[in-house]
Amino acid sequence: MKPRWSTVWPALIAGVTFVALWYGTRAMISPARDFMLPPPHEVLAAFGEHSTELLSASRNTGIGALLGFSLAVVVAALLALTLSLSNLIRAGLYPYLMMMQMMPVIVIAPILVLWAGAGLPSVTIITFLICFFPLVVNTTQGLISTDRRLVELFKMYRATKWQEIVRLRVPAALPYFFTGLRIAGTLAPIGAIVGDFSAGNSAGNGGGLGFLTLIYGAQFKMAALFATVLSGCVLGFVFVAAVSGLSWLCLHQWHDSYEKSDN
Amino acid sequence: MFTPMARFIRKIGQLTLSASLLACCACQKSSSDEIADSAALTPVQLQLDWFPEPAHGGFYQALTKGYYAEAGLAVEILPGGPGGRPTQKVASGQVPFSMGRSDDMMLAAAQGLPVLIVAALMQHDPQALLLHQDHPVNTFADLDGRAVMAYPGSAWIPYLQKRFEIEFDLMPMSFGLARFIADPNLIQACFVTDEPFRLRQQGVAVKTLLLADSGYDPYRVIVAHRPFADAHPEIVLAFVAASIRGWQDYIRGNPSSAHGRIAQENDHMTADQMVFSHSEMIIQRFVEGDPAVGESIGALDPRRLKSHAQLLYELGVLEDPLPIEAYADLTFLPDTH
Repeated sequence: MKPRWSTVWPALIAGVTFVALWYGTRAMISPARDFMLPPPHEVLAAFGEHSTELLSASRNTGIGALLGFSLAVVVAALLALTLSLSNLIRAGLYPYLMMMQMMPVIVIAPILVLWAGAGLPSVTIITFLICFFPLVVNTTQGLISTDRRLVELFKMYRATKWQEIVRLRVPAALPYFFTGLRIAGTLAPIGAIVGDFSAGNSAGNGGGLGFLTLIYGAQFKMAALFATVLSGCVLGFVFVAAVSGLSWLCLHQWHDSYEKSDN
Repeated sequence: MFTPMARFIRKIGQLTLSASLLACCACQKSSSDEIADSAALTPVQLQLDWFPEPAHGGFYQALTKGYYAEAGLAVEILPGGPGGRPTQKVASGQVPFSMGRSDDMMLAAAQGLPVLIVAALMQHDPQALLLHQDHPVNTFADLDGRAVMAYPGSAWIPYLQKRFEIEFDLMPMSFGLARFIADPNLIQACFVTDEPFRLRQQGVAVKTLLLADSGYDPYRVIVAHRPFADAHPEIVLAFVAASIRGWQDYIRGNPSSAHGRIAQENDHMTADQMVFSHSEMIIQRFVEGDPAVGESIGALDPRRLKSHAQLLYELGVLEDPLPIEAYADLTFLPDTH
């Protein structure tokens, strides 16, 4: 988990190159069109100018993302356990889980608003819907992929079904679960922003990054729009970092993927 | 397990691709038919701000009655829709002409977008707040503490809040009326020429508060890509004159030619709806305005534009005062020649 220089400096070089390309592209656009790509320093200035709004919106979006994400983790874990118990249950429920994932959120949003009300409730549910599927699928796959020989070993020692699940299947499924968690972690802020964009509410200063996108878009504030995008990225990084940290805590002592390798 | 799925997805992809190619050929064919009559016509595009509807009637009248062709133009009218972003399209030069509200164009120009107001489309904006008939809100001042579904960022929002010393919350627009029908407390932005009719047809009793009655009174305008107007003033001149002629004929004459074309372009537009919108535009004088104060179809009053820009500055929506040259050029209007 320690940041190593060997991983930091390539990222730094790529970042500097990216900013240089950004300036270069901007310089090549004709003056009549350069409003389309504000230069990096204007985006930074927009961060400063709108910092209060951006912080409050990031916080609101973060809360929605965290609530939806947490709900998805709990429900997905329970459902994955149920699904892992029998082929019959899996065959019965999988098509409908797929359907849930296929539902276009933009179309669902107006219906959700009717049921749950605009604002945080709808944002949470939309985030939940987006995060839920990768978690269930990965965790279930993990629970049913336990090493056959270990399962037989447990049977030889006459372990109960409960012992088999708690001592063997759940720990063995953890790497799969964390893969799902990492995907869901990147999706959660996106889900909350989409939710806010279509089912948000400014009540109690509760508008999030999606709401700000609408306002800056309507006022043609391009640099502020870019700053909003970057705020969403930062939020995503926070989620992914938290998930990676958790994954390291749970796995580094025993799982192959955390074997010491300094290359 | 995934191979049949992948094949299926690829198949779908191919089908959509070929369908869109077909559609593309079809549209090229129909527009080239119109243009084929006289190759000398200059092709220009007008980007609409919504699906074709009577609020665009004058343009379709000018097209179908041949006013554009007489002016030497082969105009292609491009439909819009939710997320159509007509201002961004005209600002980036994808189309030479578009439409919008004068206050939005001021905001766009202030942010450096090369847009230019060249004529009025309507003297007054038909935008209003839509409420159920028995809703307790009857005036703008009553909005205090309520929630309104509208486009966040619209300049009339801080205007109402300041003028009536009220606060209200905002929810982003959901394009459709299902939520309004289901929620008797919902207040949402609408066009008085459109949604009230559709709701009454469904048996929903509604009332409206016209935003122009609050004192916030922008024009709806025709907008040009500024570099295009600099390079081809004669085309802008011809387009503005023919469009105004189309609007005069649409409002004062027989609208059936435009309505026929709108019905072709927009399957969801019914004849009843078009009759309602058309008569509403006439009765409320949105397009013509009040001749007693010098308003007429297409006309722009520089004093009104300036005082609106000043208002936006005072509201803090504009960060700096914006001179009229930054967003409008009135020399394309017919009576200035």
